[in-house]
Amino acid sequence: MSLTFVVSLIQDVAVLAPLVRRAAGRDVAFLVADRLAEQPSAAARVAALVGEAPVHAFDHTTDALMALNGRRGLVILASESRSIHHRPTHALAAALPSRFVSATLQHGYECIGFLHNRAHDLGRADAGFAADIVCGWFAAERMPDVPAADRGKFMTTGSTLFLDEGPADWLDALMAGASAPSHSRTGGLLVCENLQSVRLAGAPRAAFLDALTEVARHRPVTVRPHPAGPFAKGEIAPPPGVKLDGRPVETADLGLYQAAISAPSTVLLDLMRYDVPVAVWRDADHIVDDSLYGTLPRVTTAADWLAFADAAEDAALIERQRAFIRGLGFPADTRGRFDALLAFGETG
Amino acid sequence: MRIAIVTPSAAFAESAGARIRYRRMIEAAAEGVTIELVPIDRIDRTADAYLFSKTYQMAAPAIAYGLAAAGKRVALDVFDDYFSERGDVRLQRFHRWFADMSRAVHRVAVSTPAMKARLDPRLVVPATVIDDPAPTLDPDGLAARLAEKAARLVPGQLNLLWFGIAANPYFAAGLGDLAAFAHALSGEASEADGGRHHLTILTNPHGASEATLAALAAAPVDVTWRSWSEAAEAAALAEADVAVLPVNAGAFSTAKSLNRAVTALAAGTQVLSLGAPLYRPLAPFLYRDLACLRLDAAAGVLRLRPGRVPRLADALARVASPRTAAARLVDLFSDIEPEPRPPHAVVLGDRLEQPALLGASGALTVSAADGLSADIRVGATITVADGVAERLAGSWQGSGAPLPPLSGHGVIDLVRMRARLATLEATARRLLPNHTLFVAHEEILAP
Repeated sequence: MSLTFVVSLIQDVAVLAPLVRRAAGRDVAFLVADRLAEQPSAAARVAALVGEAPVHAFDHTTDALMALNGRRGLVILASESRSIHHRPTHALAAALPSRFVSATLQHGYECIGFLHNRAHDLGRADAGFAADIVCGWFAAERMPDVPAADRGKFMTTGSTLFLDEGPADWLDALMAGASAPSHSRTGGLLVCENLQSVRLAGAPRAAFLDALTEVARHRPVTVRPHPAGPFAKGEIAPPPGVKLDGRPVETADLGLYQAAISAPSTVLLDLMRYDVPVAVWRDADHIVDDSLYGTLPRVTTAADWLAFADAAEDAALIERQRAFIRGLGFPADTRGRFDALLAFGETG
Repeated sequence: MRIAIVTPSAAFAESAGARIRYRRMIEAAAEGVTIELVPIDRIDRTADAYLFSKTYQMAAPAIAYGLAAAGKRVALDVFDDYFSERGDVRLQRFHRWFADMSRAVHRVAVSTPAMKARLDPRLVVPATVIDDPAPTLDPDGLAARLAEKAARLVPGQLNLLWFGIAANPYFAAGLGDLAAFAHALSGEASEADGGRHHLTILTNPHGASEATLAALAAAPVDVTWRSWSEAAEAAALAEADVAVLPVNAGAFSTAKSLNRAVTALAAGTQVLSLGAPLYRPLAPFLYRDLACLRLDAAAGVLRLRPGRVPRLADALARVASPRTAAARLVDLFSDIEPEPRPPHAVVLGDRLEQPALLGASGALTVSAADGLSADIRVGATITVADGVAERLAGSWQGSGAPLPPLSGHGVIDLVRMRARLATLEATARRLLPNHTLFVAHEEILAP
């Protein structure tokens, strides 16, 4: 049985980590893109992901093919599509010979080739996969953006977000209709930013920053800076009253917070799995597409943010977001489905 | 006789061309003949004869001409056909280079009869074929290796080898050919035979295109990838049962020498020749399909086997003899009788590689007043460097024709540069009527 994980972007680390843990005890190796291996900030996270397993750096596809000489089994790519951002993994998946089975994972809630927001739809030509198996979060009929040519290789695995025992048990209980367990929360208001995203470029970005600055005047705010965002890069200083928590998502204690606000992002699901009440930020002009976030509460102005944070104790809020998750169409047996995927490593 | 092989750079000495074509010639040179590789920027006038090889710098023709004018014997050696493909505008500079080079040198040598057939119509003196020399053959060692390989060969699970440069920037060649012919590698391997053949690909790993790699993923053979080096090639050839040599039908590929087949056979490896029949002179030792090879292997009558080593040695002596190659090179130069030549001048284009080399060639240089520095600069007025005025024609008035200004925009300047160079050339002809003129411009010009 052999499994090879391909890590090409920093975001891949968190996507793959639960699956790597699930594969413990098997013959595991890693291919890490040079461009990632060369980022000093990524080194520790990649090292933690990889553990003792063999690692091969690759730049060109042929480097990866050389590293795979004599190997067979399953190759798992955390992010692969026709998009220019996924080019190395796409080329690799296309070049893998038949002794391998390759699988590409849905690596976020809104994700090219899986589930599109309006911005993804503008780049529809990027949708499409070279891997043999396309692993989505939800049942095929809830994934309208999987290209017709790839539907035959679509497999609903669920998300690695819910693969570790804790989150998987949480999702199972939720799907079975359970209510939220009670928690004591002391962390105050959390705001997650992805201001570098092209989706927020221009007026939305300014409006988000203005609201954050205003809210921080009234109450303490913790901001989780996106690793590629302007706070993490030091491009802008955090507004007065804002504390930064830049720990990677694997180690951040997200369940601590009383309420959280984010622009449309997968981080909202990370938070909801800890039953942290969340609100989706939307800009006043609705430039940012938030239509995939259904019944979750929306906030725009600083007054909305403050009102939401004040009301976050309301248990109904949490039940509403649990109902949202329930309605998305996650499979009931994420662990079993990923085990079935890993079993492809035994063939060949 | 002292022969200098003029190369484009010092690094060229490490290339396959230098290794296969020249090093073996150097070793096989007769007594009294020395042959050495000299980078173009280090040549001096101490040799008797100069063989220009792949010096695609546009300064090279004037340098070659300068040597010939100084009484040296000068020839051009061509072993890659960058000159026959007319449809690709990127190759235009090679066509201009060849035209200038062939009028600067006394003779042209080529590596194959196919190349000679293509280039002769453009030459005053027909080209001389000098074969790529084979490595030295050790008949006993080769026979022993063949016996050993035949003993361990499994007909249904052959160890195949492809070796070479992954891709050429101008021509379809390399791994693309392998991908195109990969279907031929399936043989008829079945479970009963023990499965599939195995292919080792030995190449410069970063040269392969994504499309080629994706096409190779479908090859009906298990592939192991390795980085090429001279030592790795020797080791892989010692290990392999069969070298796979696919050749496409393009002009570049079909003018290639026999050297890949020669290398493989001399290393005791069977050869599977696919596509264009480039290696036909070695046909008795080649396979054109794997099924045939598997039957021969099972019957113990492989085309390359210990008992046929003497025949191979004869064949290589006929088509790839280092001694013959070195002797032909000497004959080529001995035939030359250097004659006095008129002085030469070079019109300088844009972005010239190594313009300093031109001064050393004894050429007068001519450029636009707003271009590279030169002996004669042509603008609204013509300015000349010290000591040059007396070499100009009596009719020289000191005023030039207006040159179209460059715009800084690529496509526009393709046209303007052509006009500028034509004007400069006409002016140079008027100023220097008794000179042989060259134009040195590295970039593409509008057709």
